[in-house]
Amino acid sequence: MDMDELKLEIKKIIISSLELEDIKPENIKDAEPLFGAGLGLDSIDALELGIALKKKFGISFSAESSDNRKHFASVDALAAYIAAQKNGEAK
Amino acid sequence: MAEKEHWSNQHEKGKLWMRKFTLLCIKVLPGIIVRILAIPIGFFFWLVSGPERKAIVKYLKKARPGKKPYTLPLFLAFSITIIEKVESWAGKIKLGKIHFQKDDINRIWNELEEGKGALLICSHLGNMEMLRAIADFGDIGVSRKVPVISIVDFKVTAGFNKMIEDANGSSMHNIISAYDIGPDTMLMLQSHVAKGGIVVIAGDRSSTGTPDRNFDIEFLGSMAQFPQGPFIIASLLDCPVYYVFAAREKALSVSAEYNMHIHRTSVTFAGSRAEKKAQTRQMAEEFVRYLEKYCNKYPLQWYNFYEYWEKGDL
Repeated sequence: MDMDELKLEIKKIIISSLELEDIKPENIKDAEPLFGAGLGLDSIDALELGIALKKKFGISFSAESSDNRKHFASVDALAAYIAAQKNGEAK
Repeated sequence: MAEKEHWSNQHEKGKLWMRKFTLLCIKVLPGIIVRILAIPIGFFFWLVSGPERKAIVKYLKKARPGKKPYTLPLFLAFSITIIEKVESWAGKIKLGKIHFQKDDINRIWNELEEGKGALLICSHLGNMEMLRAIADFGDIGVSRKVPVISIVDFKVTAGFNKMIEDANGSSMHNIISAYDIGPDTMLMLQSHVAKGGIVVIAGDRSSTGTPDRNFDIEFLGSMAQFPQGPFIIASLLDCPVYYVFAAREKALSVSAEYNMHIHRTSVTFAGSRAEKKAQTRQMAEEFVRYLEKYCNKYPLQWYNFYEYWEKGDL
């Protein structure tokens, strides 16, 4: 899967898991913050999104919550994190 | 709703020195002396807490209709409760002082004994620390040590965590702040519960960070706001959910006799996302009914010192 496909997948998961019916994948900018400003997700969205992404991509999380915040900052950051984890498994 | 001052905006009067001072006193002084000291301390807080007194008058009129809403006893009871919170961290409260009822206590003990985890939804009625501290010391009638994660509604500082650690030296109790919740939090809670841990969260403080994440529910006769968060967490955690209330048998007395009430939820989560959402609200309403019942039973042990109901309500 290339990066653009992965990003599209991530956006679809964000939309379906949080039922953001009025948002389409192309409305979510890759570099835009997901939480607070930007897409404007809140802490309760975060709870649900974490579970949905784990189910879909089987990613694991760092024990350091500040690292996790970085990985979840934007679609770009998430895609890079998921891709890095997949590569790590392939090796 | 906008004009009422939210509890989190209120200045927490003297909280830090209060904590340090009580911890020191409780460590060095005999229990009875500490409780006698609680009277002038509670009186002082009563004197300096104008807006809180006003909010409590409103509450007492609802919880104890027909009686004069004298607020001083509630502030004195609060002062004693703070002492006993710290005592429970320090392991000074003994199990014999806690009276279990004929409710769902055996059910949770059995479930914990089987290795299951649980979500406990508590409140600021009485002393929720009681349950946390008991679980901490592995004394809850269960043969294994049960690790506890508490989700609290204030910013957890390193200093605060240090103080808890100093008080009990146990690593079985973790505290996370609702302000630090992120995408990883739920996965962490899931694995904690899967390993047989307990998660504790209060269901009676409306959300500040996400004001549109509250439920409007009738409580003691008028509409009030309750947070969605705890009940959404319940829907995401696949584990038994209980409502827990621990209150002093007598609000004002020297001996710390506590009644522990525990009820398993009747709500189960199943079906579509929309159905689960409705079940989340149903659970919040069920919790509020119990909260109401225990406010009537223990009217002087309500420690939400802010305007709880919509403005304009009497």
